[in-house]
Amino acid sequence: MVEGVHDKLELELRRGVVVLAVLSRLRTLRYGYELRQSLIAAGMPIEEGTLYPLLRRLESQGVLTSEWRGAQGPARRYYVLSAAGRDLLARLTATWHGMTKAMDDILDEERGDDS
Amino acid sequence: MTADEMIDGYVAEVVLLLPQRQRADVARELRDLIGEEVAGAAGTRSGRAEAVTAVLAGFGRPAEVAARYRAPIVVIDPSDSRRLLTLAGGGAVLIVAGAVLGELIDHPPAQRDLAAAVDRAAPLIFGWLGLLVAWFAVAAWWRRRHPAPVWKPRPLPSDRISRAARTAALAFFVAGTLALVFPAATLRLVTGGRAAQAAYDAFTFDDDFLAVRGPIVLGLLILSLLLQAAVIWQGRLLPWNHRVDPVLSLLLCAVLTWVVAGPVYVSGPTDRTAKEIVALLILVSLAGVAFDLRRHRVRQAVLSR
Repeated sequence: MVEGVHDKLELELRRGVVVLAVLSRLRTLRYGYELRQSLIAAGMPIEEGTLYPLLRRLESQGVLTSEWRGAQGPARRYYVLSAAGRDLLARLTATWHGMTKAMDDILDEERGDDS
Repeated sequence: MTADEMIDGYVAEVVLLLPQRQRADVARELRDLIGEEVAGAAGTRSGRAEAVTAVLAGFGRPAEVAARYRAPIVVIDPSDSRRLLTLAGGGAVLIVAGAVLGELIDHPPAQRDLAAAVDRAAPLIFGWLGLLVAWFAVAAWWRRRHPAPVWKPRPLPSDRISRAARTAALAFFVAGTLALVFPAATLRLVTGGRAAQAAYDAFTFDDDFLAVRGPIVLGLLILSLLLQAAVIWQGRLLPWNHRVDPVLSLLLCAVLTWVVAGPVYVSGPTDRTAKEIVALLILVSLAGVAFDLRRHRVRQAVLSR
């Protein structure tokens, strides 16, 4: 029961940071599979069925731009941050640092109370 | 089925649920991405088909993947779900109750088929559910287009009553009860004695009703009128009212259901009309009991400390 709750809450936590992780990796051109592997290597695995549709959704929101490229190999759709996306990444990064700082303080405080 | 056919089938199911203009582009990209995932997974699998199966399982159901390509469409606001379920369940119960009452009114005991009456109510229940879904969908759409600026404060449901309104209601119910008990006198009063004999005959009670059901109903009506008078005197609903009122209302509904199951008036048209009015009162009372209980429980929950 508690294990099920843990999985659900962890999924919600991860869902909140997926977009930030994706945006941070798209400062340079990447295609979907390459991006996923890069996130896995960084310790942030994202399910295929979540990541690939997310790229399209972010593109439709004007956060990413994309194009098909394949001069030296198979054609692939590459994604990169748009100008609006870069601005959004900067703001979300600032928010993230503020949140992690606050959470660290809260959790440290709790740890101090427990000991 | 080959591995490539499995991939194509999966991609087809995903793009089928996407807008026409997106389909070809997404299909091409998704097929390539699945191909790369499969190539990456092939090293840990014994065959390509097994790798495809594992990769497609990792992607999830095609419908879920397709849904993630666009902003989710919310037909019913999640905040409305509980209210929708409550109204759906409550409405369904009232429709079934109405069907049973209709069967009791329409047919004599030997010809009654309550199960068939409930079955006949099924389309009405589906109609009610459809109406609710349409209503809440329109409400959700309207709320998204015109967000409410702020929540407007409303007072907690109160136990206070309006003495004037309750007194007027009591006078109305007393007059109604007297009209039921003395129909001929009421008719004379209303028409100034000019009504034809047929009108008096139309309001003649059935002997069986007068012998058993009538006195019981009258007793319960008088009891509920006395309780209303007590509430007016108190000026508010007290805890005992919250316990007694629902029980008495449900008892009255049960007795009235028993009443409509047999003849009340000798005249057929009068009997049917009176029973239909009583059936309507039963349904309104049942809804009222549910509403009052809910309101009282909310108040209790807020005031419990």
